[in-house]
Amino acid sequence: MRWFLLWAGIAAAGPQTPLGLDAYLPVPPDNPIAAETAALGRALFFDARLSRDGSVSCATCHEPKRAFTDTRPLATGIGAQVGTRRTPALVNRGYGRAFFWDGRAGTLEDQVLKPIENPIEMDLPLAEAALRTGHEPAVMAKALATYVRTIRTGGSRYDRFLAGDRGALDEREQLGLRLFRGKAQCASCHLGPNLTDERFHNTGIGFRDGRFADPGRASVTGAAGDTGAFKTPTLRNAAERAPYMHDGSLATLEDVIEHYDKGGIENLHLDTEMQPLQLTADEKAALVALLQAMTGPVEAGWPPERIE
Amino acid sequence: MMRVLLILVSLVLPAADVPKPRKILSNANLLGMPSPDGRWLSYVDTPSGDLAVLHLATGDARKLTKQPRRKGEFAYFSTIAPDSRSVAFAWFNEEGFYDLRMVGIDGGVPRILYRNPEAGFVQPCAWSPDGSQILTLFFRKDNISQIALVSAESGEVRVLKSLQWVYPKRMDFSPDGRFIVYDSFARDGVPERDIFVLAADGSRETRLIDWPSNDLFPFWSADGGTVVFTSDRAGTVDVWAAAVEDGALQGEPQRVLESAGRVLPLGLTRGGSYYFGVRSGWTEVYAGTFTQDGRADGKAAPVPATYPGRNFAPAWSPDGKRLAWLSRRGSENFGQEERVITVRDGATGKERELAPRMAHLETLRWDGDVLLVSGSDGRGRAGLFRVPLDGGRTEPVVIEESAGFRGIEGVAMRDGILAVAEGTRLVLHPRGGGETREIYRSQGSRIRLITPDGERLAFVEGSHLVTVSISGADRRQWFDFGDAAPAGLAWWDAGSLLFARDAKLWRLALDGSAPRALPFPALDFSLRGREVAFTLGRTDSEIWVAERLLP
Repeated sequence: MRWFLLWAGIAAAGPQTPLGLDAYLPVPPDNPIAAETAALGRALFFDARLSRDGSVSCATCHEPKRAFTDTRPLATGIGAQVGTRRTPALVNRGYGRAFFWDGRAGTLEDQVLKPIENPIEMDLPLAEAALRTGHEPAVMAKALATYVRTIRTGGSRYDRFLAGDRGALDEREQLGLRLFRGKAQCASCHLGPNLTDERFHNTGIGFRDGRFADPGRASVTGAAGDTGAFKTPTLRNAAERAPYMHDGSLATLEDVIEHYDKGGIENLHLDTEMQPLQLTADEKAALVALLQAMTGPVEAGWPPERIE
Repeated sequence: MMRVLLILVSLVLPAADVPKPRKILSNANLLGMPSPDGRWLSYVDTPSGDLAVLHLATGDARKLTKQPRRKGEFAYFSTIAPDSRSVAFAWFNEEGFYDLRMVGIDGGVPRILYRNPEAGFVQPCAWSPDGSQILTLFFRKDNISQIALVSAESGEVRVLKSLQWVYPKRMDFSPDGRFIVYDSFARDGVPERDIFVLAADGSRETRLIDWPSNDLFPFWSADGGTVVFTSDRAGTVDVWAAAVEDGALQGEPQRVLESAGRVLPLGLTRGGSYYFGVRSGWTEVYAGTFTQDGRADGKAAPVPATYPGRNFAPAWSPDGKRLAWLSRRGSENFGQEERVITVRDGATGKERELAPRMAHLETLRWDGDVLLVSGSDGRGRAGLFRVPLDGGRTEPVVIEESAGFRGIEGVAMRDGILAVAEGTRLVLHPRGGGETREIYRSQGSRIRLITPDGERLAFVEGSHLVTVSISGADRRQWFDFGDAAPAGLAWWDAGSLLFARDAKLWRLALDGSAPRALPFPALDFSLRGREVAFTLGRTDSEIWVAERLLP
């Protein structure tokens, strides 16, 4: 008989779970959350020595005060090199199942060192990173992954409403919630505590002149049907995280709603869920209002500290 | 009755050394559980909707709630505390969602432990061994299911884990209170379930049963050493026992009860008695013909050539060339069962099975050559879906935020799909998109069973049969069904309608006269001209016990 230890989680004696999130936070058995690991991870996260020229740390793009992303449409690495994708927000990634916009990493431990090596991000060989920090790559991976796991947000007005506080959302926001789950069908992808299905969808973003500059998920799977598909991001704290989409091409939440209202951008592999929504102006405004109500305080570290 | 009993006895064969299970109740509902001490069985008193308990030794029954029938409130799932002094139960309240409540085993005033419209549906599954927490499943309004602990004292909630659209069919506490065992889909995109063990403090999770079969309905034995579950790994639905230690599997599971049939496990007592429900009976789709004046033109005959006894909810295609119906498959769970669509070609007699990727199929209608199915899909959406006959992709037509898993009712009209919105409005959704149009708005009463003819709509509003013109004007109220709601509605001609009720077909003339029973009995039906397809059948739910199930 086969059986597998799946994941350990945060012990009961650990910090309180933010409202709206699960108490069970998946953690690999060989990397339980511990204060020392999280502290080392935090130190590494802010350590610019992890870039070749010492100019960029993880926090340079993943700014804590902006839900651990930045305001640039596309990520910018050392030497002002501009990447092809927007810096993803790191909130609640501990609950994630796939990492990077194309999901090429299956765990946070797999993911966290990749930007260090990436020539247009931090461009530092891991061996050199180990020399500079005095920590083996495996140790750095566990520490950074642990720190990222501690970055959590919940407790928004949306969460309070779901927990039974009927006054937490006003009338317009409640209309937005009905639309979110009904006519606008946002909840078919943005669902659950973290408001994402952790799957990959082609909404037509990035399709120009008859092609996708970025193949998205297809670069991982090799499947033509995955062309232009990118991971569904969380909607938590979206109001603080403009611009939007994997290429930062939509400047405002209103732009995002317009994109979905028209049914995305037609292309060969457009997700069949994408259909024109026929939203009225009031309905669009209600959806934006709801998205703004999904903003909550962000905490990081172990024990957690609120990001001010 | 005797025949059914004999069939059941042959279905439920115990493994060696296990006492033969015995039936303890017929016509039972399967929403309750035995108390851990084996003295009581909780259930819902169906006529009143009240929570009740049955003393298993004496047969004495006692209602624990007293609710005026007409209020439309009722009890649902329940679980009895370890000390047998309290019962936690779900209560469908006056606002139209489920509270978690608690009441003493001797009755008294129930206490609302948790009330949250966003929680939608709550299912208390087990008490912590110290009686302080109630392990509860929330099935939220947004179709997310959550494993939660609710304080029996304060009602405070701790959500341990969210499972997107999948809900465990059973959850139980380990007797030391450290673990929760539950079933869930083994992986994305597969219908089979595995069994998981989650630490009650949220600190870790293991996959206890990882096997390419459907493993579900887990219960923990009183000594903590065994998890009992059902599995189809041997080709039939059997009850298996897995040795566990510290939340992990020890050795191979052993079969302890063979061929349990359409089993719905209810609980395992401290004394090792395993209580389970069994669904028995059959349903079948028949077809018959009426004469013009409503007499039977010959005998009705069963239609399906495949899966006899499992079929219901027939629907003629508009051209009459095809008949579709729903057909049960697999084992059942509480409330929902696996269903597929069968389409019979009238010319060739060939039957084809469609298994759209939907979580639940409730009713069938046609829109031209495509089926309109009410229910919910695998993405947590409920409403009305379009299912093409060529096996193409199932697509939502109307998604309703307020719809339950059974979806919403809708019918094809010339200009679009007319569907019930928020339970009280009839809204036309034009073909090819465009602005929706409200046809009719009820003043609070719920609308169901819409049926159009060329000029008018008929539907049931509250308990009344109502007709309006196709524009929604000229409302007329015709007949009060009272408590006995109809199960189908169709125009017979311009001056009369057919409906099914009390397992009979009735014709109601729109002249104020009383309905007249027609010759064919029917649980539901579809009418095309003078041909009628209808469901016949009889179903029962029984409760059985296998005493000393575990060695």
